[in-house]
Amino acid sequence: MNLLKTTNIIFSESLFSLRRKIGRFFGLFLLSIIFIVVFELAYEPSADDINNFLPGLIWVTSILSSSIGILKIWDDEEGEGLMDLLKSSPLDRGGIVLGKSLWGAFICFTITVSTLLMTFFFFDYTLDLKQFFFLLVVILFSSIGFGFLGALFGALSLGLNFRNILLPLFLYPLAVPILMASINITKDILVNGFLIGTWFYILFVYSFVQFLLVFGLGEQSLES
Amino acid sequence: MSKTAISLDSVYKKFNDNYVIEDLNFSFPMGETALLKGKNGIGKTTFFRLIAGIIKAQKGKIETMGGIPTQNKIRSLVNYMGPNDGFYEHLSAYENLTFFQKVFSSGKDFSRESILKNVDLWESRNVATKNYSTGMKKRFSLAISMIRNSDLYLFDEPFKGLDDVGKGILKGYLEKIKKEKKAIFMISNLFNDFEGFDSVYEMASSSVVKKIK
Repeated sequence: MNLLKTTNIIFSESLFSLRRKIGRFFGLFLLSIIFIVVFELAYEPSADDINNFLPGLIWVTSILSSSIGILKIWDDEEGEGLMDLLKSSPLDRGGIVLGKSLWGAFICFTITVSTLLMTFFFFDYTLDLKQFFFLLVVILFSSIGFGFLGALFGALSLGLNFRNILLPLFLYPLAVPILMASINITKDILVNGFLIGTWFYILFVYSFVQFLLVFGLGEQSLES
Repeated sequence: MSKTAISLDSVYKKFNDNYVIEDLNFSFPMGETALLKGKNGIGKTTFFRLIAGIIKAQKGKIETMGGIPTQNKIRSLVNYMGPNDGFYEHLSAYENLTFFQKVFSSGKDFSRESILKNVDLWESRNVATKNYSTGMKKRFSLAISMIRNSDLYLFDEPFKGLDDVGKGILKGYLEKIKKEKKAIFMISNLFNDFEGFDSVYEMASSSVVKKIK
């Protein structure tokens, strides 16, 4: 079976399973809201402070919340029985990892957009349409970078002892460039209203590299 | 097509520096039905996982149905049923079968209703499989195997956990495959009373699989 068909089957299954795991998804969303509300109550920022800390708050909250979802995307396949059956099937192994990576990116994108909207709502911050569109572009690239990174490392760590501890230890340091670039681009968009700059190139290249890594190492990661 | 369903030539497989399979040579003809016996931990499951292309050998050559078992087109000819449950536990039996029909590209050939009725799970088709009993899970694993048309069937302890009704279903399924002149290779240490197999093999050590009947 070819790569794209396999990717579609795996991504569709994850999307279909969402209705059975909707509680977990809302839990991540709720976690984001708790972060934002606690920060607002603790800090009570002035209007001038908001532009300085809002990008950091949005991205730290989003990365933390969505990482919980991303770290769990291989949980169903972690048992040897299902993974063996998928590996013995005609599915393309690279497509299995690509499908899961797209699912990781989808989780990250959805959680980050929700966090963004909630943050602007709680801090009574208004955006124009252009700023909102630019932010969606940043969220898209960072979601691809973080989701693909998480899915690839998740596949590599399948079957390892202490996987739940090791995976975040590897994932968070590697997500730092995504986090730093996204915070700086968001600040540029909110303060100056522009998207393209050095940080955007860094984010684009880093996310593209993750994308290529999944294509190149996806199959090998399941065989390790 | 090759007349040999399975061929291993000086195969080595190790986990954490311990060789589970060591210099193993073996050949299994097309269309034969056979049992594989051997003491626990000798490497029978690893042997099957190598044949099914789930894992790769460190050294040696494996051919399954005339090709390398890790290739997609070869895997579509091999029907592997492992010792552990292989399905999404949060999904129902019906939803799982829908998924696996897409995985095995067998949507038009098999009716989910007839297969679930065949394994006596039609009434509980909408229940999440995590709520099934051990025997029901095993019967559902059989249902997943039934949605595939293959030339080589590898079963790893399929009778384990099945009650008499389940054993009857499995025996009927094995008879059907045999009538179609397909190859069956089955690991079983529990199973003695089924006379339908052409031969019996024993895995005596990590390097010896010999025919004993």
